[in-house]
Amino acid sequence: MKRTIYYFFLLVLIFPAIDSVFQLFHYTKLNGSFLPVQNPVFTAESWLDNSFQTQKEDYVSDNLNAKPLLTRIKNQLDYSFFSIANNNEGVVGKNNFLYLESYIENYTGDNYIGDENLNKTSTTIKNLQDFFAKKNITLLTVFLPSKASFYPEYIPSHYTKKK
Amino acid sequence: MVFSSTLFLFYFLPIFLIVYNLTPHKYKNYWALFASLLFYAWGAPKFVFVVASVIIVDYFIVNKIDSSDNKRLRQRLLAVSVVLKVGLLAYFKYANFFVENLNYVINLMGGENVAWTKVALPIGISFFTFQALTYSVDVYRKVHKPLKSIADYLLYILLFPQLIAGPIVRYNEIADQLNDRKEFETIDNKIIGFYRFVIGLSKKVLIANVLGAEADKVFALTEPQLTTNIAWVGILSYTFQIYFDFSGYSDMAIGLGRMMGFKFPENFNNPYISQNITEFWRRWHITLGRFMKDYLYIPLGGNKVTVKRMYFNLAFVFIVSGFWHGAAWNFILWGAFHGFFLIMDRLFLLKVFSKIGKIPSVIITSFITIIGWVIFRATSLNQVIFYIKELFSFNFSNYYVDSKFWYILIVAVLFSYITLLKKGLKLEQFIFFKEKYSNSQIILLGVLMFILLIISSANIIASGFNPFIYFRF
Repeated sequence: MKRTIYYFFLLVLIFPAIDSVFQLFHYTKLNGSFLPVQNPVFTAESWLDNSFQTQKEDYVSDNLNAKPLLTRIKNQLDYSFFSIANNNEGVVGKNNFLYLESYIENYTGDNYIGDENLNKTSTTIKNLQDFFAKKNITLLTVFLPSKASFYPEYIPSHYTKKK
Repeated sequence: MVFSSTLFLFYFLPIFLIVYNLTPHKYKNYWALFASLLFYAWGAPKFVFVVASVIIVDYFIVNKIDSSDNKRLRQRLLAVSVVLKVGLLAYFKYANFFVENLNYVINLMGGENVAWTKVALPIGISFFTFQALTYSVDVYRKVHKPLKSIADYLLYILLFPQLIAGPIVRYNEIADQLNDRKEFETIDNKIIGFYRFVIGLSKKVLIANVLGAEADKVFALTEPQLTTNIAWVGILSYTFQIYFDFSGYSDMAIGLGRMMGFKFPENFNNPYISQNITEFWRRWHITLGRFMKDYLYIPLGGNKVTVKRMYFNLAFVFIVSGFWHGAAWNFILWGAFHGFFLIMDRLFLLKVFSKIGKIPSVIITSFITIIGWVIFRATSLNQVIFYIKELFSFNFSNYYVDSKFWYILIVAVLFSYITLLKKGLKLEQFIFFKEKYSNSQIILLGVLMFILLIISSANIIASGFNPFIYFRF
């Protein structure tokens, strides 16, 4: 029994490598935009300066066949237990409303760029409008409402507390 | 290659273990040595040749120490062997520090800097130089005969489970295992070793990494950005990060060793339940404490000297111990800080602690330890001062930390102090120190370890994956 369990665990450890080499299972690809890691070329120089090893480790991790499954397990656990969305800027709000952090910060004014920068930007826009007006082109400046401004009530309270 | 990386976990380790299990006993050391050399060459490709050369030269010096009857020659050879290894450590770890400080003094006196190309710190050097020192000293003291082959000595120093971060295994406690460990290579040890490895991996990945991310964030703040509540979040994160990180790594090393038939010494024994700093050092990084005691404190005279000299010895050993952790002034200060409390313990603190009782003593000792971690974690002496000041300034601010951090911190606190309770101690004995489990216990623990292994693996794989979701639109 103990021997079986031990070898079962060895199989669990080696399985991701075998699965990566022989593509035993098909996993639904991960969504989103990210740069794939390139497989490094081995040279004595890249070995000695450690760049080969660093990139190879990243490459192996990035190209593990089961990466989508394991990533989804981690993300699901973080979301279900801690209400954390593991993508760039994702924030889980009240009633499971999803936001991007920069939109919340626009709404709360946390990323306010300051009067001086605002004046500079509006002067630039005005100059552009005047420039295009001389060519009979109307330049309209439109302020886009964001999800945060439509649903401020679902923004997590620690953002609104800061406000 | 760290233990908590994809390459190690899913490629290096299973391939190593499968081949190791299939290899006949008399060839196991060669396979372990080959894997260890590969492991070290992966992380320190330039240094592997230096360390291998030093070990080979040292092997012959130590053999000569053993075979010689001439006391004076033996002493001289021991001195050469010690200088060779301490010199290696001094050059690679401390040369930059000494030159920087020398230049600082020269600048103060209006002189010009000494030209110097910075030396890179090879991984694991602090640990394996200490192990190599125990080899020559133990043979000199006739505690144990030297190893029969260079390959075995290389294996003792470079054995990959304990190469990077210990435990510091003294020669005399592993020498026989290097020659023959058939008896210890049982299926019980293999499976217990594997479970220990998974526990260590989980401590590192699921607890230490989460707390470490918060500690890094807080310790990167400047003086005006820091407030009392933020400073406490930062230092509590670091207090438990360093424990779960280091003890997790030790668990992994002990577990890996056990799967190979080695019995490495324990490195931690619930340090945060200590009732004084003297006790803390019997529970924290035990193998370093034992090394310092047997190879430095006792040769200096230990307790068998005048009281003044004993206090000097204590302070000296702790300053050296602090400096061993890193070539910077804050590590020296941290060593001196602990040395100070050790001396205070002997002067009066132990009596005070015994009067106030267990729980208050644990709380006060934990508090002293936490303040010590500020000194240890800070990147400059200036940061030490403003950070400690901020801890007690009672200047509070709005600071958000997500629920995951708080849950993990609670788990970390719980497991750090659980052995204060009898039931906690029983649980620890059952999980860490039971020598044999029944089949049903093995299955029950196996299910738990399987879950921990999958969650840890998922965290390792996914930790760097934060795609930009808007880029695809």
